[in-house]
Amino acid sequence: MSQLFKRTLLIMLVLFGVVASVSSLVAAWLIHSHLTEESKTKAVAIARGIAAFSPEIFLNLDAATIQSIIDQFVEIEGVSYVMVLTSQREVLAHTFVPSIPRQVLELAPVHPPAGGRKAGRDEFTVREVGDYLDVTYPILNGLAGQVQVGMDLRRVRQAIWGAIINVQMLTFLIFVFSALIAYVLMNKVSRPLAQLTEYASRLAVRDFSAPLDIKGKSELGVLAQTMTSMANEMQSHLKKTQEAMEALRRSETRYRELFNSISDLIYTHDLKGRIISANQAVSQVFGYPLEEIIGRLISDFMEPEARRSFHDKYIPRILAEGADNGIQAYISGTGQKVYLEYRNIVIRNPGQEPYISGSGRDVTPRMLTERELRKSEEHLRSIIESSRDAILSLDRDRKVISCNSAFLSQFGYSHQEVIGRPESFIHPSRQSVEEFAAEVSPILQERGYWRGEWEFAHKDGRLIPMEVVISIQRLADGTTFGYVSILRDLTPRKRAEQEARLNRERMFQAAKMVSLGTVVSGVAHEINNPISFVTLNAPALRRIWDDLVPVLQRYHRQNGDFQAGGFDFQELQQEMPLLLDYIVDGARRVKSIVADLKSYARHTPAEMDQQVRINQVVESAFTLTRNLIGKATENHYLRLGRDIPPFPGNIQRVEQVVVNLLINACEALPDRSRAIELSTYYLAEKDQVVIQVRDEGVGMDPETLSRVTDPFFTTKRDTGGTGLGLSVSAGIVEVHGGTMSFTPNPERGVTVRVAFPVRGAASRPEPRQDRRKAAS
Amino acid sequence: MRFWQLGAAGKPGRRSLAAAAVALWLLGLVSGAGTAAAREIKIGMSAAFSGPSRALGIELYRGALAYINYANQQRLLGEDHLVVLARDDGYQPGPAVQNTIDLVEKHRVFLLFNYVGTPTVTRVLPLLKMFSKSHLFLLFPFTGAEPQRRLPYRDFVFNLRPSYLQETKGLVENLLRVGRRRIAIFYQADAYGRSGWVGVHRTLAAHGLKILAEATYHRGARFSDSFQQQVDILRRSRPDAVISVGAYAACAGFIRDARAAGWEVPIANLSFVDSDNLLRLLKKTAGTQLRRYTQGLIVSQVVPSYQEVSLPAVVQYRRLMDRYQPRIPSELATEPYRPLRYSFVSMEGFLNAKMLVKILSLMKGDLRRERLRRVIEGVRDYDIGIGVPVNFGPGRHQGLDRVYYTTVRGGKLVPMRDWRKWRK
Repeated sequence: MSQLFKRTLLIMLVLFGVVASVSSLVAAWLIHSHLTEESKTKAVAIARGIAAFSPEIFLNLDAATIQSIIDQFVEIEGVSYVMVLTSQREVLAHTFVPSIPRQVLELAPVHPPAGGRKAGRDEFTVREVGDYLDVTYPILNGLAGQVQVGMDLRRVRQAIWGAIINVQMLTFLIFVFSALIAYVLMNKVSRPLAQLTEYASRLAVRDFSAPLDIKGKSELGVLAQTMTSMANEMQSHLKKTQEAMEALRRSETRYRELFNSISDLIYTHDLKGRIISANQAVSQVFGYPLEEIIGRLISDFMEPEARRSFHDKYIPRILAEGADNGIQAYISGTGQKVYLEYRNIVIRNPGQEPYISGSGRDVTPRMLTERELRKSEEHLRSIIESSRDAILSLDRDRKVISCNSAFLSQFGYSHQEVIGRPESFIHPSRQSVEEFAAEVSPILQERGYWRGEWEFAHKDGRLIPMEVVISIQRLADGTTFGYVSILRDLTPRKRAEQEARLNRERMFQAAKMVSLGTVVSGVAHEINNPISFVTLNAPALRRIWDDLVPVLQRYHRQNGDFQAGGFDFQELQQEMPLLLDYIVDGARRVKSIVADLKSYARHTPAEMDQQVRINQVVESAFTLTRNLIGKATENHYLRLGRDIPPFPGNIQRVEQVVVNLLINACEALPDRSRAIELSTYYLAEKDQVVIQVRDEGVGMDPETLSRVTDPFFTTKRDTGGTGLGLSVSAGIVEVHGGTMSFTPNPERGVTVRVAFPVRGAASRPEPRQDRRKAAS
Repeated sequence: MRFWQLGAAGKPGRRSLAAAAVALWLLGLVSGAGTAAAREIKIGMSAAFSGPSRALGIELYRGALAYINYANQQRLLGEDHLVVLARDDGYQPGPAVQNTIDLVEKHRVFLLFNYVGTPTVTRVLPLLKMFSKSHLFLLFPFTGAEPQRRLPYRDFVFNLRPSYLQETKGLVENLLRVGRRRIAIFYQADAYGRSGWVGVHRTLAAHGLKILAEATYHRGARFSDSFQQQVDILRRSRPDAVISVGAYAACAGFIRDARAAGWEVPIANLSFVDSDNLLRLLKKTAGTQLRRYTQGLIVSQVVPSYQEVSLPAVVQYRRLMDRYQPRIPSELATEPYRPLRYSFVSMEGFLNAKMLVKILSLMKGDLRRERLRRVIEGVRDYDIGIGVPVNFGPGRHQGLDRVYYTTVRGGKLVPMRDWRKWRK
């Protein structure tokens, strides 16, 4: 179909459309007004007819007759209802089924002008009620009521639609007919034109085979000839061009194949990031067809947070530097993350907007692997970091690569001090390094790990015994690339071992003492009898000697000098009393030692139900030791506290303790100028009775202090000390629930403080029968 | 037309042999029987023999024919022979008018008789007025509407049955008496329905009340149509009773839809409803629900029940119905119908015919039409056999005034004398 005809057709269509619409409207309006008018006229005629029918019927209100009258009118076409109302507006008769529609019932009453302007004439009222045209007509000027006739407006509407459809149909038919005629006429005029047009359009697509059979001298004929010669000219020219083009195309195809077959992504984009070209690899990696990629913004494929940096950072950077490379994440068509390692350069051609050309490579697998590795590494690091063992990672040359915080804290170094240093810095000496290497290397090489104990050095030089596990880190091919040392501080363990050993020794000592005690008590008993002979008989011998001396002197005067036992009488007379004194003294010492031993080995506890008044006890003890004290010092003080409550216990035993303390104090004094001070007092806050003995003696070293109550520990073995005095005392104090402490005085000497609880030892557990102190 | 002119030319009131001879000759001429010895008296009847109200025409015809057969057989009119020319108007005014014109002009009937329906009769009335010069009368139409009982048409019609006003007045007053004051009305949208409506309206107005609600239906509605809309309209205002002014098909449909919707309100129908056929339709559709469907039904009647066998007319009616088992002319039997053995409608047809025969017999062979009015108006205290006498007179063109009430019990129509059971 020719363009000319199409255009004509369009104009015709519009014209006919206007005609159809206008005529439909006119027809509709005419029909509407006509039919409405007709309906109205009809209704008025009917209403008037009814009203005028027989006035007496209405006056009689003969509803049945009225009904039969109005029934007839309903049969008339177009009449919907007839209704008669009385002058009081009561319904007299109607034709509605099943009931009077509300809208009709509620029509405003019509008030006919009583004898007014139109008196005696048609004073009907026309109203539209829904689908009805209601005509109200008064009967006898309204005195006898009114007639309402309803015309069906749907009929009017139907008629209007019918008319419109008819008009449209008719117009359409005329239109089709006109179009056909126009087509035929147009064809006649436009055929040569169309031929020329077609010829020209085929030339345009380089089809020179088309015939052109317009002859004659008319303008069209001349035009046709000109066009034919022009076509021939063009044909030869075109041929050359085509050949050149063909060569170019082949080259371009090859290039494009190459471009597309490269597995690297190759692309160009402008400075807004709009993709100008891309090869097949781009499509594969991005998961979109190429058509959807070209022309879109690169940033569309990025994660939203990366887009801003693309425009704000990447573009300025690459413009400034001329090139850029790196790794960029994209979201592919399948929604997965794709990492591209790109290398982009800015291409600047004169007179042209610069653009960016680049290539990229999909490094997603690598990135993902790296990420996994990082994760697993982080996992390991957290395990290592949380270990209480010191962990050290070394490289092949045994230099520290990393260590955990346990290592730093155990060795006292900071992180910077450690990294990169040779492992040897934790050894205390050169020698340790060499020994360690000699010990460890062979086993490590053979088994791949070494386990053992070694002493390393803290930063401050302190030695740390450690349990060490070293393992070699090897690659799959067996190449060593590093070592891991796990070091566990053994100091706590060693200390514990030491403690255990000491305990064992104490236990052993204690056991020894127990057996010794048993032996001693037996021996003491056995010794006691023989020594009694000595002690009883030695004084007798002395007295005997004393009595014999005058006899012997007399004998000497009479008989001269004589010898006895290798002694001259003169010597003997001097020596004999001394010898006897020695015996007496030795025997007494033996007896005292035996008494001590017996006392130490005594098994049965003493009665504890006495009320001990400490001051009495102290006075008594002081009296007992008065001689000793007098010999030891010129300065002794006794300070007895007031209002000291008694405490339950054994008076003799407590006295024994006080005596022991006084003796010890006296024995500690090197000369008589030194002082001893005994004081008693009541410690209310602890409810304790305290005896304190302070001396200015030689004092005790810490070792002695710590063992002072051990049985048989004595510093006076040579002077007959048994090492039992304080031990026994400590036992007694313990039985009383008290405590005994030794404190070196600031200047010199020792203060011993014994405290007894006023409430006694009742609250304490059953006192051990074994009173000897023993480590447990 | 010639006939009427001739008939009109005759001198009324005279009992001369000559006149009688002329009249007889003329009648013979009209009937075409040809013999003066056996005159045919043609009676024109237009009624519904087809359509949903066909039972009315058929039963009325059958009842009338039972007595006419009897009268002809017993020669109650001597040599005169009564012929009923029945035409079907399908209960539509147009055909009724056309039938009337045909009967009068073409068949030259002696009088019109047993017309059925208010809309039909009211439209025929102007024709009667038109033919009034030839003294054309309509006897005993089967309708209680007012137009033919009032001027200007009263003079051309004689009614036997009481009016709808009387029936509705009776129903409404009885309902009011038992405390049912909220009264709605279901009626046919035509002159018949309007007559009933007027009756209800006036009676209520006399008691200072108004019709509570109203719903109409189209004349010609079938039993199969739905009356749900009407039921809904009326039920919405919760009436104490519904007065139903319609034909049996529509009324039965209305009752069916009301009861099916569970509405138990008493429904009172007029005699025109043809209670027998109403009941028959309800029975057909109710099945086991019959009790529910027929409960609360009241029908006012204008003739006594055919079960009142103590009445001589009832006995006679039953005997003659059984004996003759009348059928309608075959050309009218266009639609299937199973006749009832007895019914109120045929009973009325029977009484109408009996009255007609009585009137004709009173004319004693002098069948001049201008005499008819005088003869009928002269009937006083005629014992038709139903316990109440028939009275006509100048200005009194309605023979009976008694209204009877029936209800349904055990699937049968039974007389109802006590309204107390309807007390609200």
